[in-house]
Amino acid sequence: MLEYIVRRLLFMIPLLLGITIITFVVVHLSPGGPADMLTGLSPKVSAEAKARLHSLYGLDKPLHVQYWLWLSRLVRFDFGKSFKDGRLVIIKILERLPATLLLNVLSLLLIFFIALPIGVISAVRQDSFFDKGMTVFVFLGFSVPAFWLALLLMVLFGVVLGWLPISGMHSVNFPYFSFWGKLWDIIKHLILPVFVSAFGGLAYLSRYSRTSMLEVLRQDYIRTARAKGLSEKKVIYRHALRNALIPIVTLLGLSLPALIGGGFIFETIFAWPGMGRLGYQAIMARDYPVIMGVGVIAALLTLLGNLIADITYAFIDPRIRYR
Amino acid sequence: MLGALIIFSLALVAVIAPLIAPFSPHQQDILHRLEPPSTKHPLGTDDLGRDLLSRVIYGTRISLLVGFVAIGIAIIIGSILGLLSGYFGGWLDAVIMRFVDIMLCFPTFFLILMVIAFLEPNIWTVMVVIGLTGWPGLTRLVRGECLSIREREFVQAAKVLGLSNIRVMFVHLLPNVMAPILVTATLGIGGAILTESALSFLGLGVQPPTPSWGNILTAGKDYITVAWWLSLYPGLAILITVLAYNLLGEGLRDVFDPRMMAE
Repeated sequence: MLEYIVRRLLFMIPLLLGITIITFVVVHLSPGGPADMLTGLSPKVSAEAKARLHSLYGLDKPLHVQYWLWLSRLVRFDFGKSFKDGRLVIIKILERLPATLLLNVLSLLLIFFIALPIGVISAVRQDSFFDKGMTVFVFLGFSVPAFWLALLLMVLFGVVLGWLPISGMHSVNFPYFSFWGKLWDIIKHLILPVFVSAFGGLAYLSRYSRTSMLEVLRQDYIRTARAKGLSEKKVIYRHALRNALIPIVTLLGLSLPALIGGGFIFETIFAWPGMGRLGYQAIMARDYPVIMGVGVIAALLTLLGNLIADITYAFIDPRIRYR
Repeated sequence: MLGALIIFSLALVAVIAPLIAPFSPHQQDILHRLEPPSTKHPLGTDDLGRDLLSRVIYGTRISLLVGFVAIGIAIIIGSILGLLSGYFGGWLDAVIMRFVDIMLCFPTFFLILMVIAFLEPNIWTVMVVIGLTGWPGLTRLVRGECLSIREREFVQAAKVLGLSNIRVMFVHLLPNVMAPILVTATLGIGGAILTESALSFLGLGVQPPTPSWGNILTAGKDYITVAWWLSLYPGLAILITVLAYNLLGEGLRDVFDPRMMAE
């Protein structure tokens, strides 16, 4: 088991290198390069000043040297300073990370606790009204453009009904709330983003758990269990469900990266102060260090998600530990 | 095959757009901005007085174009790499699969955002980038299928007969791998359209005044409390289109499934 983990960790190293290379290449794709952006494309900046900026930032060195310099700083978690406000990039990211994680983890939990039962019940009562109804729901879930749904829900709940706040993580008078007041405030702000964020994943996972459950139910050992005379409940919960859970859990782990990626849109729409929004603003402002930092961290989190998924998978299914 | 029907009508709409759209999508009529749906403007007008119905109709063209081209790129790259990887194996396989793993690590949307922000956002960039982020999954799929087909007799026979490798790959392997590719591609078109509209919504996709469902929604969100139609209809159009592709894809999957041993 431990050996498996170590192997997986070792595999990650070339992946990490690849990620840094790709991020680096993408950033340097832009015509003009970082120095132009730093000077705000102002034509008043003389050529000498630009040349000085170039050498200051090491932009006149050959590309692979630049890459090496960047990489060596990266390993020390030194992402440099933001172009916009000069603060350390790593601090800016760390400030926003908890918010993003909060949103994503909650979404994941929501997806899991809702999609799984839906899928299981759909499988157990295949072709029933419930199943068919859920299938329709799932297809809609796949097809709905998330940001559109977000907009509509915002209008419905925020404006028309006025029940829920539509932006940010805190209300304006947050510091004056009591502890419970603060908690409730955050929860109120969380409801819409988490729901919209989970919606797409819900559809996908419930479909998947249905398929998985159906496959398991066809197996011989289920027939054996029924032939033994076990109650249907026991058959489903103790035998079928556990086996069906395996691929579902893997998929869940793999969903984390998707959530992080999709988080951009939701965070922007709901003005949620998370990493995704930071990345978006940085992209708009051409704030290169922040963009690279967010990109690398996002990829890292993705890798982490995959790793957790793999380890959990190995944990649950002893068969694959000895590969 | 409801999906196929919807798609066919959409394609039709896209092609004959200039004929059926009542107004030009660029024709502004500032006196009549932000009008609710009426007989003259069945879907209302937008903030510059342009007829929404016409814009949505023209938007169909953009969305379908993006969907097809992006997925087309992904298919071409993905299939070729997958075939190479599955057929030759060895170090070529290892290298390609490493590359695929790396590409899959990135949060796709962020990568797309980054690339488009650094280059100029226009429709061609969008298409190419979406295609470039879509091929890894396809490569894996094709490679898997190749690995299982590679050992079958007809492939061995072709090799023994002395057919060149390229010929074996394209004439013998490829047609048998087509089925899952087609399913993935169809479902992928839906995804590509969603991505394009999200990008346009964020201002990084198709630029105004060219109408794309996404960028109509951007304008819509600013006026959402006064002009709900601006936000409702384009989104509905996206929904129906993507739904159609998903239905088609699932239908295709059901057709092919008895023939496919595994996914």
